[in-house]
This record gives sequence, C-alpha cells and structure tokens, in this order.
Amino acid sequence: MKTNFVLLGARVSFASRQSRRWLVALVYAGFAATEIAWFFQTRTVTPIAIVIGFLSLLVLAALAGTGYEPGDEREEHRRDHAFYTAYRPLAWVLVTALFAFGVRGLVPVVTFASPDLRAFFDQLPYAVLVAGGILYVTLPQVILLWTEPDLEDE
Amino acid sequence: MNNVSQKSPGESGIYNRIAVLRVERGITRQQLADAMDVNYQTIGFLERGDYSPSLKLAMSLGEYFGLPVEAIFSKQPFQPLSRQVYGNAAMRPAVKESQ
Repeated sequence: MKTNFVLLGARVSFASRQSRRWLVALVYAGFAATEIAWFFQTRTVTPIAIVIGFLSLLVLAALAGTGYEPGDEREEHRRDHAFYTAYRPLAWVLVTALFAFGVRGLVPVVTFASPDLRAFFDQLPYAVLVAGGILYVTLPQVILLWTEPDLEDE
Repeated sequence: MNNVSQKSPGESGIYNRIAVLRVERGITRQQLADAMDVNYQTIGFLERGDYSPSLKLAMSLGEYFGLPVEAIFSKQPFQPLSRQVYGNAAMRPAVKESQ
C-alpha cells in the first residue's frame, strides 16, 4: 500500500489508519451526496456525478491499488481477504436491486400512488444498482484502507 | 529500530526472533525485505508478530540467517539469549562489590 503522496508540492501521508479512515469517509460522503443529487436531478447531475466518481476511484486506486498489481504474500493475502469480505454482502445488493425491479409494477401502493411517488419507486432500483456498482468497484480497496493497521512512513 | 525483543506474539500467536537476528547482523528492514522479495512493511509486521509467514517465507528466512526455522519461530516465548548462553546466573541482578 502506498502511504505517501505529493499533492501540489505538499507531502501527504496516509500511513496512519485514522487518516485513511477520514479519506474513506470523505470519498463515500461524496458518493452518497452525488447519488442523492442524481436520484432527484438525473439529467443535470449525471456528468458531475461521473467526474466526481471517476476522481474518487483514482484516489482509492492510487492508495490501495487496483487489485491486479503483484504484491508480496502478505499484501496478496490482505487483498484476497478484502475482496472476499466485500463481495459477499454485495450479492445481497444485487438481489435487492433485482427484487426491486421485479416488484415495482406489482405493489398496489406504487400503482395507486401519486405520480411523484411512482417516479420515486421507478427510479429506486436504478439507484440501488448504481450504489451496488460503486460498492463493487470501491469496497475492496476501502476495506483495505480501513482495516490496514498503522504503517511506517516510507 | 524498535521492538527488538518480542514481548508478545502479536496477532499471529507466533513468537519470532527476526528483529534480534536482523539487528545482530546489522541489516536494515529494507535490506532484509529485498533479500526476501517482500515489502519492508511486511518485515515490520513479521517482527511484531502481526503476520504469520508462509512456510516458503519462513524457510527463506531460515536460509538467509543460516538457522533452522524453529530457531526463528516458536509457539512459546523465546528465552533471552544471555540466559541460554550463560544460564540463570545471567539473570541475577548485579551485586555491588563495594562492601
């Protein structure tokens, strides 16, 4: 795991677990805010959401790696464990999204609800899928960043 | 340099003498990491007992230090080298001879 970066001439260290956890919280807060905005203003927010999402992915990949570069045995063990831990709950996100797609036209409250509520329920499965997609790409790296103990500075 | 004598086995539950052997031979973590083809952080985790190495890495460490694996890793705490060499006399507090 890379712990030191130079950002605009200043050295930034992510050797401590606390600093990595703050970064993860910041990135996921950004994702959450962007998705909520996208949920209500799909057309105007989509390009901004894509840019913010892409930048966040770059930051996470720069720190925790993409999952494909070679590492030593400890790093590979940690990475395998992170992927395993991440993808077990993600299966449930996928099942929930599929379930939401399946029942959205069948539930009476949706059928007889106001247009706004119906639009909300129409959009909900897509929102769950987008959240699942974000988690699919980021969660293993985030688990690594979150759980790796304090490291020695490079 | 820190934690040369391992007081607790760390998360791995295995005691080791890697730090002592490394310091004894005057090599840095980076040099040992390069020789073992691992990240230097991994040497730190090994020394603190927070990571159990694979059998391959354990045997490579044995070869590198010229010692059997059981001389480097143990499920029981290692005795201080001074006690092993000089027996219990080495562990007695020094007595002032000014009387």
